[in-house]
Amino acid sequence: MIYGLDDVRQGFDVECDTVVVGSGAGGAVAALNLATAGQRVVVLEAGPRVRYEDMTRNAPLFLARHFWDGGLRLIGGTTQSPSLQARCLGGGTVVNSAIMLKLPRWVREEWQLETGIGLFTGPELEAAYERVFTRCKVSPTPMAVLGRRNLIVRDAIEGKLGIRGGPLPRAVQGCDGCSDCLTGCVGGHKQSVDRSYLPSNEQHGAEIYTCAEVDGVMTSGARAVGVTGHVIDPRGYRKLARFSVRAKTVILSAGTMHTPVILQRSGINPGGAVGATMFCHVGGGMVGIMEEVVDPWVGATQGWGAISKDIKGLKYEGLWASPSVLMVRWGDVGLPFIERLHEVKHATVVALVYRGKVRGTVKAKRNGMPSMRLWIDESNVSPIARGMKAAADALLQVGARYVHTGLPGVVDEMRSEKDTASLLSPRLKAKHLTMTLNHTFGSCRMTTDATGPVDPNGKVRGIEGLYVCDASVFPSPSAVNPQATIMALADITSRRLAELPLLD
Amino acid sequence: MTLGALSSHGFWMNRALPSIAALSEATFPENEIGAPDWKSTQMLDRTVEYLHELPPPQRRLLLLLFLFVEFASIFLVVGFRRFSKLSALRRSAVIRGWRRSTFFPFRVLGDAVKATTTMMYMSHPSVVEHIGEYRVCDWPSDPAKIAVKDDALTKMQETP
Repeated sequence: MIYGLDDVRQGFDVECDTVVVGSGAGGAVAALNLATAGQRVVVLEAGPRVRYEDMTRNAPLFLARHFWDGGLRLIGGTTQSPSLQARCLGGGTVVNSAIMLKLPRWVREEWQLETGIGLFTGPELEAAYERVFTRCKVSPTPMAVLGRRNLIVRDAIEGKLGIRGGPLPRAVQGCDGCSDCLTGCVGGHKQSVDRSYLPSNEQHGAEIYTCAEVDGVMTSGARAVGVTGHVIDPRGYRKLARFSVRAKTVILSAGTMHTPVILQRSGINPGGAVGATMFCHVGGGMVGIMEEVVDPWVGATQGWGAISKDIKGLKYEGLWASPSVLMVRWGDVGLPFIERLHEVKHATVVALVYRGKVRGTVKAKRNGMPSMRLWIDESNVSPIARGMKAAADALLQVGARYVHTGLPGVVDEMRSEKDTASLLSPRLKAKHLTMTLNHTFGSCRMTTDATGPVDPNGKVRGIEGLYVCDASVFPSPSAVNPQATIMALADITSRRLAELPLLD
Repeated sequence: MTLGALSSHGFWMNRALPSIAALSEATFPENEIGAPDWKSTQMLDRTVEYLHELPPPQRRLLLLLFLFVEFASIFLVVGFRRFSKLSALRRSAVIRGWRRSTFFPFRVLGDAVKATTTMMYMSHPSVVEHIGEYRVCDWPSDPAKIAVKDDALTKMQETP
């Protein structure tokens, strides 16, 4: 059963075996395992359900209605970077590009070394990936829906840089290449958890409450006994009523930014480590304006990608989004911008995702929202700049008239290798990097020692019955899109709780 | 929509309206190349509608941005005039200058202005049509009407 605003407007008080806070990649998986095992499960989601009639290609309006802070969330620190975080039933899986990549072997080994947790390199993780991939119908993006834009990126990165890549594996079945992943999949092809997991949750008796924002965890001594919060009107953001859910087990899956805030507001902060760390993938992007008409709005949003051989932790991928989002930093203002509008149909975009050295924090603001700070080490600039130069040169070699990065101090319209060399200028600093920090992790790290607030079983140290199932537990950045790993780790934690086998 | 017609939006919103109009005109001015401009894309009322969709803290933040631009220009821009009292060309130059500034807060200010106005402008159906954007799948219930060419991928594959 899914309860909407009208069902919960007056508030509610319920009891269950397990309450799961958050209905995204981690929460939906955890809830299903526990519901399958016969537990009475309640899932709480702060945002509304995105119905077909709610979807619109008017991206600003969609973002305002279905993203935290109306899509205007910023991460401060070295620079002010936007961070798009979904606030709807199904969480980020509804609005991302559904890329499902397993952790690279070297990251698994690094995580094991770093934390002493054998799980990261063990067969249990691989088995969890397989279960998740099967349910989400993960398969490589079909060549037929890559569109010209992704193929140009392939020709540049694979053909000119010699970096072997491929169509990205995604949780999509029957993609029609409409490039609208950010505003929800209107065709229903994306296997976001509201399609792949939550319906099964309902079938197994889980109760799913939307518009229910959790304020804190209720404890009795050193044991979690439930959560409290308020019902919130998703359009007016008014708090309408209180609710409470009493449960033997509490699972926090509210994401890297909100899980630590719920813990902090509940006075749960083992070792002062909750929110004391946070990591993001950094990187950059560039627009290549090709001679040919590309029609970049045709083809899978992020259909093709490759992992750099020369620069460890760097991934290239083709990208598109609504021009109203993509072009917010693109080009000039006034007439010079308007005069270039006819070039949009010639555009192709290469995004760079880098697993660099960053450190960050998450703290609860007085209004209960998270405040994020991220400091980007200057050592990140050189590999990102080298990666960007290589990609820019490759785009020029496959026929780009010019390449634009929007980075200050860099030639605005790079038309030759001499121009792209400006990317290597020592004057380019971390504070100049312009990026959207959507991949965030590690605000409640999972470790064997007390340096992280979460133990290897996913349990919050010092509190019985309280678990974390989201990207908060990542010990460090994943180097690839995190959804598959969030789901796999949530699968393992919840199967242990449900006493289900980890190996099939 | 005129400024007068929007005057029922509350004290601070009313104070921000001249700034929103001035920024919209500066970033998307009337032109002779046939591109939609700030008036034909109803930037003013669409921005107000967007502001009302935002959570209160973000709405306040954007209102503050618009008010800051309007009144801080008296001190930040040569000429001691409010932003909306500058010529459209001068306003464009001011925003461009902020975006290119080596002083971080100015860059943030310029980028925030550019981002907000661009989001509104680029999402208008006439701009979508002007840039030639279309979709390969139909979306009948979407109020944002975008042309559909459902055979585009097939044709693209047939083109070498």
